[in-house]
Amino acid sequence: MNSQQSVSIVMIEDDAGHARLIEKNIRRAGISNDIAHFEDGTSALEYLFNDPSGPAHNGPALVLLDLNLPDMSGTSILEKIKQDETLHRTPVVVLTTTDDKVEIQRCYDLGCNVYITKPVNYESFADAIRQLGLFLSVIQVPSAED
Amino acid sequence: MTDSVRRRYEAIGRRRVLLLLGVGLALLATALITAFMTLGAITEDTDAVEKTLERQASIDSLATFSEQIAVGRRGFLLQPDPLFARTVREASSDFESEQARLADMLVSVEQRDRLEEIRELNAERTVMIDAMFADPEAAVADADTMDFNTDGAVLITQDIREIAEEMSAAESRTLVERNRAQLDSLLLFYIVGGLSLMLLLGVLVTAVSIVLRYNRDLAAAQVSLREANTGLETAVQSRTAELIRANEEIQRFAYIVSHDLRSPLVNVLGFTSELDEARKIIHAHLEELYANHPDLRDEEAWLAVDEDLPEALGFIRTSTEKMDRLINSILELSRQGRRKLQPEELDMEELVEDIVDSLYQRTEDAGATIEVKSIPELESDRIAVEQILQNLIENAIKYLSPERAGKIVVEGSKAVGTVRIDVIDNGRGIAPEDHERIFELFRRAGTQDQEGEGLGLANVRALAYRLGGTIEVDSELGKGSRFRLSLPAKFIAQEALA
Repeated sequence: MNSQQSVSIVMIEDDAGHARLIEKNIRRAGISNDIAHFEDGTSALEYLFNDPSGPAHNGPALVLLDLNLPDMSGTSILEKIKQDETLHRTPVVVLTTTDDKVEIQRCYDLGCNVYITKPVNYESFADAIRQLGLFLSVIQVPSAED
Repeated sequence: MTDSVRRRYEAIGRRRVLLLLGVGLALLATALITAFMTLGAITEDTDAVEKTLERQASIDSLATFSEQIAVGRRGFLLQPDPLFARTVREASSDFESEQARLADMLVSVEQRDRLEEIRELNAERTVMIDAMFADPEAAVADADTMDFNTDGAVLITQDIREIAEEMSAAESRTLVERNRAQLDSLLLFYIVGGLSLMLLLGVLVTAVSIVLRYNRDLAAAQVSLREANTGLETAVQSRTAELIRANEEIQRFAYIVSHDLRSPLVNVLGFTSELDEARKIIHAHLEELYANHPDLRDEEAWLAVDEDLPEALGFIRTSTEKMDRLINSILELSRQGRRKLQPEELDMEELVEDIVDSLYQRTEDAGATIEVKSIPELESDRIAVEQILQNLIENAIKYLSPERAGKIVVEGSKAVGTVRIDVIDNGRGIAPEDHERIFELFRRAGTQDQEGEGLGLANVRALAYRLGGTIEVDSELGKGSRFRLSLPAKFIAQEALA
């Protein structure tokens, strides 16, 4: 991870249980970056674009995005991020239960960087998240200002 | 039902036409009979007229001969020339033969009486003439002083003349009557003929108008039939569209439901594992604690951590995993239901052989043989047909009877627009009460000694329906089963029509 500037992780996930499990496993993988958790699309967008401590104004970030949100579809958040001047380089990892081929293609078309299906089997799930953690620890994330 | 209605209408039409034809025939017959009768009457009249004329001519001749006799006699008396005598004799002979002829011809009694009178008068005169010829000189001498106005022979001739005139007049009257009768007959002929002709024309017009009306009714019926047909087609189309919409709705529903059910399952399984992790920590801690301080050992706490908790967690896990498999099955079914079918020409024998080859190892392990007989080609979706047959053949291998060597036959036949493929086995069979149940989702039948979610045949039936076909089972417990798949020889995608 970028050593000079700590990358914050923005997790948009409406299921509190999933969020907790994801966070636990990321921590187990040794990632200690800040995790900001949002349970709905509106507050997440507010944070991403307008919050002074959010990625648009302050530092690089990585988005973990669930597609099934109560107030809007995850794909429309993805679309907004990827069409935004300052945020379009922000890596977005779609992490969702949907394994529909069409949906996956649509996400990549919209500019999603990684698409991961949450396995129901917990061992696989934990494994996937830990590997994601390892992945997060090696990738370079551009800051919004770059 | 429709047959009897058709027959009734036909009978009504037939009766009308027959009635008209009968009336026409009767009229024609009347006209003909009248014509013949009239013609007969006219011929008769004509004959009668001819006869009357003949009689009249004869009467005239008779009168003439009478006059000739009188003239000859008078000439002889003035100048006794044998020439006059010959004239008188000839005329007399003519008179007599004419009189005989006329007597044959006369019919009415009055005329006969008159003729008889003439004959008598003539006979009287003949007597006088014979006397004259017997003594010509005395006769001539008498004649000088004779007043012809009172002479007997002259008076007789006058009488004969008058009677002949009467007879002629009588014949003339008959002629007039005959002519009138002839005219009457002709008039009757014209009236009856004209009436018959008019009625015949009327019948013709009625018949034509009936035929025209039937024609019009027929055309109207055809139009309404076509309208009804079009309405029916529209109704079928809209119904089909509704069904397809409803089906899509169910597919979408199944997809969303199964999908949303997975989310909580992730939590249940996830936190079960977390619980187990926590338990392991407590277990390890207690183990170490009890090893170091046996006096602190609490058997109940130890059992809870060492047996009860793992057992409970294990049940939660297996149940949740099973639930996950079921959800995945629904998801899989709905996904297949959403797949677009693409009909293509299928070499069915090759397709089945490929499936059989892919199952070679399992067939060997089960100690079974599979025979593929001839199967007609058909045009359908390859993947769907493959899945159906794969499922059926797999089931046949899976549910063999342990009592005998497995023998599986796949054979096909063709009916109008339909191809039938039968998968026949000599396996353990299915009880009659389960014949319907086995096609339901998550339902299974018989001894539960094989793995499975109860998905295969539900999927087979869904696919068969989607391909516009049917699947049925014919089976006896302990004897074997025959699965009959019927598919349209040429699949037309309904989704494309909607």
